[in-house]
Amino acid sequence: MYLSSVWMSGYGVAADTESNLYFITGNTAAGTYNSATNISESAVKMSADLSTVDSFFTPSDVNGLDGGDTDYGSGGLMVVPDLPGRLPHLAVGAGKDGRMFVFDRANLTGFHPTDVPSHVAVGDCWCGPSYFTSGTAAAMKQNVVSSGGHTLMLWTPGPSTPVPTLTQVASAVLSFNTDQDGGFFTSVSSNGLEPGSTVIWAVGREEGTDHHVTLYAFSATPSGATLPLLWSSPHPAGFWPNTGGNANLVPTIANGRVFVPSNKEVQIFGLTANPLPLKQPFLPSTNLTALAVTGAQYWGTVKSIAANRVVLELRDGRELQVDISPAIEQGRSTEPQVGQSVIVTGKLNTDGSLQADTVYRAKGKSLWGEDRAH
Amino acid sequence: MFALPLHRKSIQSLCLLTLGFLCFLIRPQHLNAQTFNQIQFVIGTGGDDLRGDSSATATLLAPNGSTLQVITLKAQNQSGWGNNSSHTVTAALSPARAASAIGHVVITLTSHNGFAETDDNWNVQSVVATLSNGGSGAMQFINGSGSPLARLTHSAPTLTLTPLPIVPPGMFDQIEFVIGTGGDDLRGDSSATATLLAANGATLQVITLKAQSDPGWGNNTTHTVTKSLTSPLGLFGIADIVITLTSHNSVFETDDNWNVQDVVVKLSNNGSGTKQIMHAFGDPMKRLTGSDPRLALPLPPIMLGPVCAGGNNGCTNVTTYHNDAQRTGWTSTEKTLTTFNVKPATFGHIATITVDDQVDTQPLVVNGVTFITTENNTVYALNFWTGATVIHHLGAPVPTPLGCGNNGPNVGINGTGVIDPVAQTFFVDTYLSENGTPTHKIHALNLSTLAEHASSPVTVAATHSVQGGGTFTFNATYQRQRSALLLANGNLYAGYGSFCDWGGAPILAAGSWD
Repeated sequence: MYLSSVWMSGYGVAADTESNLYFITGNTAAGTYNSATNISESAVKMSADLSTVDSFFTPSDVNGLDGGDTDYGSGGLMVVPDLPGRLPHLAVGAGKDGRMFVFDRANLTGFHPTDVPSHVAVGDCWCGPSYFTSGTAAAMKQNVVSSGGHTLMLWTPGPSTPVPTLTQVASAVLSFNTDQDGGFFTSVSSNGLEPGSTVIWAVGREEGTDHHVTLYAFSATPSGATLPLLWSSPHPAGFWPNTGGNANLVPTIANGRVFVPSNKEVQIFGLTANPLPLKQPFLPSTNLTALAVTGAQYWGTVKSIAANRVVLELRDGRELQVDISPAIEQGRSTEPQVGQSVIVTGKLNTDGSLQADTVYRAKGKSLWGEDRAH
Repeated sequence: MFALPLHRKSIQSLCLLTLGFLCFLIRPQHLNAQTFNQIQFVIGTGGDDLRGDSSATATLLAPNGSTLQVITLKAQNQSGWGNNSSHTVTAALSPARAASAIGHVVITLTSHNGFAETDDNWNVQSVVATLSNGGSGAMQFINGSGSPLARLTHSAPTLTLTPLPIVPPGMFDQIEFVIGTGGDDLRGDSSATATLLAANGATLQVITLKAQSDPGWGNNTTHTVTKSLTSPLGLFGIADIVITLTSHNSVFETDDNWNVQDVVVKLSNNGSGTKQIMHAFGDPMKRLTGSDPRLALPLPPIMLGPVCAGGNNGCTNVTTYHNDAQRTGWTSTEKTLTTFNVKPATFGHIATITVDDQVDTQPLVVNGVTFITTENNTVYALNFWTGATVIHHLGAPVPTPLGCGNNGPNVGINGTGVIDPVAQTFFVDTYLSENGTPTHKIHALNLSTLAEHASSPVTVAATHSVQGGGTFTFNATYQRQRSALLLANGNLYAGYGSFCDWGGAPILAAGSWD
């Protein structure tokens, strides 16, 4: 049985103050979406006892999202905190294709040939939003922070008739250069509404031959249409050598310190008035053992598609004929698109073509793994 | 000003400048002025008693030999001290004195012979003397033992004891390891050491836990090793402890394998004022082998200066992924960092904590204690206030599930756990390889000790009829727990997906916790 999943690149299932739960689902087998029995690619509002789907939204192109492994559920769904007297109550969430939808939590609107909720483009999002309140106690303002692609964006609720909207306030582009999937994660710190206290923190994806990650700090007070960069870590804020999984790293801010997780370490940042001696990289206490994997496996770029026959261009320029029917039958295939990076696994036929058990989207060419024939 | 990270070397002076309960470190020059108004003796008698009609005294001598005070240990009219007994005598120091004012302590036996009696002989086995102020702030002052330590007789009625070197309070000169061995022993011909490392990686001291000539440590045994530190250390003086197994194979022997279950490390000051700085455990915590003979145990870096203004009540706690159930990611009580001081001149890297595997989860913070979980199913609690580290290895992770490359080499704790600050409980989902079978378990860990609650862990299992027909059964071989856990409505919620889209996944699992 093939259902949908909850993963959200590590983001958490959310809850409002009325005990409802909110999350986004990922893909299911292409063509099996059913708004009554299999709500893939959907923002979902559910009862506390998990007995009832109170409301949901599925993008009208759900079959394309399922087929292309373009999960809406790569991103998290945030409950936008309510301000006194302010309606509607909002939730926001974006997915792999970078559309961030904004919802009235009272009714996520369901599934229609044309999407009812409005959306804004934030950049490909294996990511999740953040939030802070600004202004004065007498005039508080809601702020949504998005982190798709390489771009940090600040949004404020716009007109809500006929549906809620978001208006862009400012943005900034992060400098990291990666072949991992789009998006990154943010956190915000402030001393309540105190002017000048609000900082937006972000950790980029891995980059460079050493696969390092960078911590960024931006002022939440725009300068024109730009969020000013206050600081970025001059040395690696950590490393992410296992590049097959995205660096979905979320910084934690507490008591004057910023904690940045990564591979085998957590770095701590703070005021350097009395610097601590830098701790040296240390012996790992565990030998990591990878499972021996067998079977043919190739990375390549889709060159052409004819029915279930796909031609891949491998990294050395050779062409590989791939029969993707077994993968499709097992629901373990995306619908490949020409120009896309994919990884295929299966069995090599005597004629040199590949019988594929799985076909998945791959990250950029620099992160391709080793090909193998057996 | 409270949250300024302080340089290791400046602790002793800064502690005086800051305040409060954290201030257990005092300037050494002030120590000489610290006085004690009470002395306690614990004296063990061996195979020859102190007779009922004898008396015994302890004379405190100044460094120049002059008598400061004579304390009666046993008066002539008090009952005798029988063979193999222990007696405690507490006396006031009058006037109060600094430890350095006492150069020696002399114990004297006086026989008061009755008719036809000969002189008493008394075997003194042990003498422990502790200085304190009305019983608090105890500092061990004398610690002597032997079999006997001395036999006092008519011709040799005195025992002169020299005080232990004076170690300032807040500094420690003794380290104790309590190490539990699991289902694979430390062989008799193997040796084991603990290397103490400073924050800059320099070796402070190598401590022999078991010499090659010592008997082996059998399966499921616990051994305690107490050693002196070659130079006294502050509470945060040790940054890492590395336990190393060395095999000394005879001709046909292969390398030793040793399952380390528990490691407790304590520092003390002349045996008193003990501070536990680490408790690491697991089943096993680590299996040391010939090719992987080291267990590295990190201690937290210094984060002194009260972590939060106003003590724990003023602390910012981050108990769940992105700070709250709405997932805002907003710390709205940050008193220190602002757009004015987050700049290259004043802000930067201050420390690195090394852990045992990839961290896919967000660090959580409660009362200044940082909680970190890894893909090796290890949970770390690092207390920057006390120096204590607790590490709990919850079991072997699953290597490369289904050959799926969307993870690190191991999948263990993949989704961020959640802390219930009221119940003082940390919930995590582990992905465990149990005899080669992948299993998801939900653990409820005590926030202070990281020990499992009584009914923890719970194996995740579910069977559900599916709308539209069919039955879905949770199969941990395929299911991946990536999204962060949620605590709401009195329930714990965990979302599941699958590895590389292999098979389906249930949407959510929920359970309440009593």
